Amino acid sequence: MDRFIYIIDWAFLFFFVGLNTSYLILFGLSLAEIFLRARRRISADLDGSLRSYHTHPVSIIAPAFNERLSIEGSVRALLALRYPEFEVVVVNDGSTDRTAQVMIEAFDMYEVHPIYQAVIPTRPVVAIYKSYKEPKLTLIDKVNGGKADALNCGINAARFPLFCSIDADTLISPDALLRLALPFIDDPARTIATGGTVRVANGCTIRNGQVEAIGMPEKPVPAFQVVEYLRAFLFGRVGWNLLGGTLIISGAFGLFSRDAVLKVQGYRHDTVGEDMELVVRLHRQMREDHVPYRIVFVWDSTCYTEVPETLEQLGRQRDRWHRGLIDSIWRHRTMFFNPRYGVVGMVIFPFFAIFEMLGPIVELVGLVTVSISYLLGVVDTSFMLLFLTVSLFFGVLLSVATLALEEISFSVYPNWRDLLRMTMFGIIENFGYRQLTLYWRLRGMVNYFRGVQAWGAMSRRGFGAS
Amino acid sequence: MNTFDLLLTDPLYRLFVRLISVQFVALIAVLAAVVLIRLRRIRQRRERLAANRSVAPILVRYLSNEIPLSEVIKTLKPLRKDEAAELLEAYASSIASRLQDDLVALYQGLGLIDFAVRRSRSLIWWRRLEAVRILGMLEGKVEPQILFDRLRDPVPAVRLAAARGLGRSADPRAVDPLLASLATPAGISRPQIAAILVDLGSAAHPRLRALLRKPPQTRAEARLYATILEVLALSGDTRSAPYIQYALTDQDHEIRIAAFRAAGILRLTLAPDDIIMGLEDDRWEVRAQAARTAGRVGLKEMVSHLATRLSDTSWWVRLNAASALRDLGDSGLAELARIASDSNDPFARDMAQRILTEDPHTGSNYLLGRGATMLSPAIAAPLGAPAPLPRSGIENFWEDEEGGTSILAQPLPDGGFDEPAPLPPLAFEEQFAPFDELPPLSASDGYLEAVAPDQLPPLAFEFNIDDENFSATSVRDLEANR
Repeated sequence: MDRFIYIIDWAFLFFFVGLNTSYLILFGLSLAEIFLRARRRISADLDGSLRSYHTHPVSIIAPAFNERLSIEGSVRALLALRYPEFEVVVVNDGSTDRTAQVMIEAFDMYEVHPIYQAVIPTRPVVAIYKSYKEPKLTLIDKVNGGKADALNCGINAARFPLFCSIDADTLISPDALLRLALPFIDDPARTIATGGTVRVANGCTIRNGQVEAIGMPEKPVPAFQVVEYLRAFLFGRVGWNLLGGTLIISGAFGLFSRDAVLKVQGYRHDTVGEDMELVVRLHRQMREDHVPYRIVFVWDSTCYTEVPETLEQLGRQRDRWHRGLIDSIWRHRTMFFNPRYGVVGMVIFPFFAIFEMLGPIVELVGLVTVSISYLLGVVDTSFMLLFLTVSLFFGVLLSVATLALEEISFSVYPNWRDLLRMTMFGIIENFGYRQLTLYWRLRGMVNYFRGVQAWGAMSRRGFGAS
Repeated sequence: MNTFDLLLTDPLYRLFVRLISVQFVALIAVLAAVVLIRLRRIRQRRERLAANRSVAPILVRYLSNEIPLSEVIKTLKPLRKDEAAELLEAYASSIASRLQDDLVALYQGLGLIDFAVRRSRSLIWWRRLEAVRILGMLEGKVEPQILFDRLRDPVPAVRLAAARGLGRSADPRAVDPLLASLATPAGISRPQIAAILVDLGSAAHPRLRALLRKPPQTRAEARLYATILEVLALSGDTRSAPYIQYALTDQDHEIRIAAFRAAGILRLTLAPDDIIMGLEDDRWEVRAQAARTAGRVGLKEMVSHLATRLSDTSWWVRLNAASALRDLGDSGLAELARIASDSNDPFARDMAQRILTEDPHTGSNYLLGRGATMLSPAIAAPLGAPAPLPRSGIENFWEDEEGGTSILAQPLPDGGFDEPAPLPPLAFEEQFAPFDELPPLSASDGYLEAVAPDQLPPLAFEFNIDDENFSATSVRDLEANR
């Protein structure tokens, strides 16, 4: 028994060292990338691209389900984007809260003949509307089929070779789409998808669908998520991008080649992590077809989204995210340590499978066995405390280091008070909040194996109320 | 052994204690770094704001000849060179060419040109980038050789900035190096090259037209040929019309697409047979572009041919043909309305109805004129409209014969660039003369075009790839081009 516990303890220690070493490497990569790219960002000739006839036109697809409070502001922000040519396709996915009516009234919309190129099968379309006021705007009213179905419907109706998938409650910075499209201009033959940074809109001042002033949310739950989002985007994804393997493009904001996505038949309906699954499938398809390709994370392209404000809602969201992660990894398990898939199969996919997917289980087993070890006298109190201190200190260090990345790259929170609060939340999230997310991820894992497919509702305040 | 002894003697314990110490120091260091970075940023913002406030009025007064150069230099001298360059860049880009000489004098007076020359030799890429941007701002009037040299910089961002600088220079010598030197293995993409050549404007036209005289031999050359056709059209070169018309029947489909697109942009008066040939092309992309061009150039005699294309197997051809009919005005709209109501082909009917209803004006007219046949029954019935015809059904996807989509086959944007005014038709012989019977060229045609086609210098590059990026295996010495 002692020997078994001893082995488990060492395995846990290796996991801990492996995970934290990976984080350190990722941090180093992110720091280098952000430092160098900050100069590239300055040098990017956005105005040149803006007037370039050769900037690819984009169809922005915004699926909306019960978004009546925020839809008008979001659509106005989309229509105000700086981009040479684009259309906005809002897909009302069978909302029950008058989302379509709000759109029709706000933008003076009229019904048109509902014909489009139905390449990907979707639930039936009820009607298609155009706007008298905004020629770029299209509303598709369809029978409820879920977010993936709504996105597929939007892809079918899209007129342009690139499409941008965004959540209807997402606010995009005015030049974010242009920045997201730059890799397609730089390398149009190989680039098939790009993703941007998602930030927390709670606490920001929103006017006419635009973020007017950026601030930290007052409530603790969204404030914790500010630090979390910074860590996930500025630190994790920037690092993976440098290694050439962006595995997640957030459903909240991503730009795709329509042809590439049509080739893999769009988003899957039967998963709750359709955004990650699509990107993994694109990687897989391209590698299997031996087609040179690029999937790029563009960290300086920013959008803002409303995050859950209560622990209950947050728990449901994290539960769903973890189910999506497991599902994507399980469906494409053949990529695991498979040299055929290059750096994606050999490094990035295993990282996500071992550290992100199995992380909660390993941490749970570790905690249980360390506790048992302690009770059996295999490990003494002082060692346990030392280990716990190292572990927590490392978490704090990573959180604070993320703030340094933020200061180097954007420094969007102008107030010292906000910086102080971010630092504070970065420190205290390690004492309770992270353990809570561990619990939610474990719950997600259990729910996945129970076959739960629910999304879980999230009530929104809407940007109009901000 | 107590805990304290363990901390001093046990290697694992000591390792952990060291780790905690290192973490603590690192944490303090990172926090200090965050504060310092923020303080620096605040100071920079303040300085930039103050400088911005002082620079703008002084610069305007200097360019209006109200104050002498020395006064501007006195104001800007205290700034760091890179800061001054960054500030001036914001204003320089909007300054008219006639003021460029004043701007050059200012840059020289501030020592920014020497600064840029020095930085152009730096080992640090962003310093070279900075140098190239400064020289690019001056439209290649000073030290243009540095811009030419930096086209071969190992860093793409520097190459691109040099290319953009040359794009603003109106220097015809830039054409070949732009086409060739940008095409290093990690080349700059075709859209970027095209955009820069459009920036170069009429200075590039003679050389680009000269390049069109050599029939493309490879796929890469064909793509270059197609790009040149579009660039010439986008920059409003009406003299390229004979080349465009000749290319409408080229054997390479990308050239045919580009030629139809260019004809549409320039609104050339095309022969109906040319359009008909395009509408019956084997490639759907060509058919789609030909249809779109027919609408743009306003060929009213194409109505019946376009109507036929509403039964095309390709969605994009149907869409572009219907859009073209709408663009042709009354006769096209009448044909669309007839198809929308009476056609036996449900796909043609659907597309016609879509285009008619999509446009609020034509849609309203159509609805009023035709008895609201495609309003929903609940709205149409009270108006006394007949029952709507059955739809083709959005669930019944009719797959395109080639599948996929193409940017070239998309409807053209209506405001993405400065459209030239409609042109008067060219003389018959100008329009249809084959290459070897083109009218003789005079020296006034400019660079290189005064040379007979068979005496044109060889291309300065050889293309060796077949995707969207050009790459060159050899680059002629720039000096030979002068």
